[in-house]
Amino acid sequence: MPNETTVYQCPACTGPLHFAGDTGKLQCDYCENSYEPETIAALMADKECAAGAQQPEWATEAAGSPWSEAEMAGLRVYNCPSCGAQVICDANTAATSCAYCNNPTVMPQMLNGGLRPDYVIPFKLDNDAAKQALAKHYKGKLFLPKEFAAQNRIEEIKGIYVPFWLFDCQADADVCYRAKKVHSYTSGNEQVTVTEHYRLTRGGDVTFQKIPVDGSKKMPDAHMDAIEPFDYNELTPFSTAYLPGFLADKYDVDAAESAQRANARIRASVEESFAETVSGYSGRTTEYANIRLAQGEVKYALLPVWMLNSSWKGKTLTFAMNGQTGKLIGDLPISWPRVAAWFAGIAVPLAVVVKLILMVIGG
Amino acid sequence: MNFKMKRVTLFFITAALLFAALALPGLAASGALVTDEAGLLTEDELRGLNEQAQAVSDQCGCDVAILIVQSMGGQTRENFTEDAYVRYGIAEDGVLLMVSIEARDYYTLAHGEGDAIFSDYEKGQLEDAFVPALSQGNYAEAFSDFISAAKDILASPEESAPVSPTVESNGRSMSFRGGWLFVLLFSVGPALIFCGVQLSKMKSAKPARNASNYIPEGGLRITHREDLYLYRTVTRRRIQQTNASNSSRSGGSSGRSGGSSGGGFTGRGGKF
Repeated sequence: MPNETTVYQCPACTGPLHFAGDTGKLQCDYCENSYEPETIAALMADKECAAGAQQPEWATEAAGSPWSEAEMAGLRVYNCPSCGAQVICDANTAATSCAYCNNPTVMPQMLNGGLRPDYVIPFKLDNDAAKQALAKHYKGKLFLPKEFAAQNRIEEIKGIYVPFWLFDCQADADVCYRAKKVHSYTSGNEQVTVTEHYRLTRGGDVTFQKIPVDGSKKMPDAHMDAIEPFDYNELTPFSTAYLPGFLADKYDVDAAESAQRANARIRASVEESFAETVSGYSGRTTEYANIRLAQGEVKYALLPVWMLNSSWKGKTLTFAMNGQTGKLIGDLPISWPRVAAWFAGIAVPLAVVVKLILMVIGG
Repeated sequence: MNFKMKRVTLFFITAALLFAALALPGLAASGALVTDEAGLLTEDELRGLNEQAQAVSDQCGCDVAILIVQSMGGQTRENFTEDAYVRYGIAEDGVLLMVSIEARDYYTLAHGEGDAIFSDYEKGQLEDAFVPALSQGNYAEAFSDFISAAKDILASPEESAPVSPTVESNGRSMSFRGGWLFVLLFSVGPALIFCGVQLSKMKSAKPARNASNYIPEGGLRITHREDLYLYRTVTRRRIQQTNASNSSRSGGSSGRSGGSSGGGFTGRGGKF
């Protein structure tokens, strides 16, 4: 059964509205009016409330054949309220665009109840900024294949609100090290080296605030980690009014599962922070590190990410850009002939010069 | 120092040198590069070897000398050969083969430029050339083989050298043999580093290892800190004597600087 959808419509002309990151407002493509997201959200709430009593009951059981369980588990079908076409998308999609009329569509029921995010950071950068950032990413890469850099190979560009878990935590730790102080002096015809052995103990706690871990299986973890950090000063209480014009997913990796990645990062940071308190010693080794993570608070947020897909020799290349800060990352293809040429171009002249110098020195 | 004093000083130095030259026996007096104090060689053999050694020395600018003695008078072969090198006035750049008949000992000693050319590897090559004939009692043949082998090495030291850099001991200059290793190190090395840095720029999607960005200011509190001294260990190492004459070289030299300037001896010896 098709699910319920919401389209944010312009109060003036009923055209679809999309969120403009540069102004932070919802903008109409047709009459060019713009509105505060809160204003439109309040209007839509009133409209939904009024429409709720008149919601028609459709007898859809007779139409078509039933979806298989596997299909039902992985797909969702929506009706575009603008053109009426059916929009089929992933079970976790909460906001998308109609494939026929490009109407931005939000599926609020995917974000309701327990799935409703606490925060959102609105997009600040548009897709032109993402394209420019990708072009900049190519610059200075000597081993990039010439044909790849010369052509615009972007096959797909999507602005996605990616679900993230934000972990607040306090870690108590007791760490013990063995360390040495070494000094030497000359006595007669002997070099005497004195090594003093120490046992160092450190106790204390470290506070962490909002460690982000993405809760989407579709998003590569390395990409999501690498576009950090986000500026949390712009964290805004969640509203669906920020979603139109972008894709939005709900999480499919829950907080408990994501906590494992957060815990590993917390432990590493605690060990590094405590190790920095040991100075004046050499040969430091950790005897034990007892790190206890206090039950912390987890928040659910949608953070803005531009995903750019490209391809090279049959291989898909994925780039990600932080939709707030503009930090873009992604592995680039390597031209091994160029690597070999640069290697030879450096090594051969150097070899000639060094050999000449040796000949001069050696007479 | 005035002109008169200079003349007096010059007179005494010249007189002392003349006296020393007349008083010293052997090579310095005779000017011969091959000296047979044990009487092993015939006059013809001795003359032929001397002519051969002189020709090589003149051609290569490095004395190739041989000293045959009956005994070493109770000295070690290293000390005896080093003393002989100075006593017989062999040039600063040279190589000397000492053979003691009584102890059936031989010792090859190099000095100056000879030291730079005749490393332990080359001394081994010399031994390969003369020891077989020496062991069989073919003395003239053995010494002729020694001179010929020395000539070959002096003529093309690069070809005979093993592939490893050798630094001349006296510090005047560096003579690198097998310099290709050095060349490779200083050409391939920078190229590898450059390419490695550039390749690392191609990969930017890396998982985060820590959460240090999310520790707020004042978020780290150390409430307990204790540095406890446990014990100490003491190690003693004898300092190698390092000076201009024997700067950490292998080859069994006793490390004495000899009477000449510009470097020390390195030697290698054995029984025949």
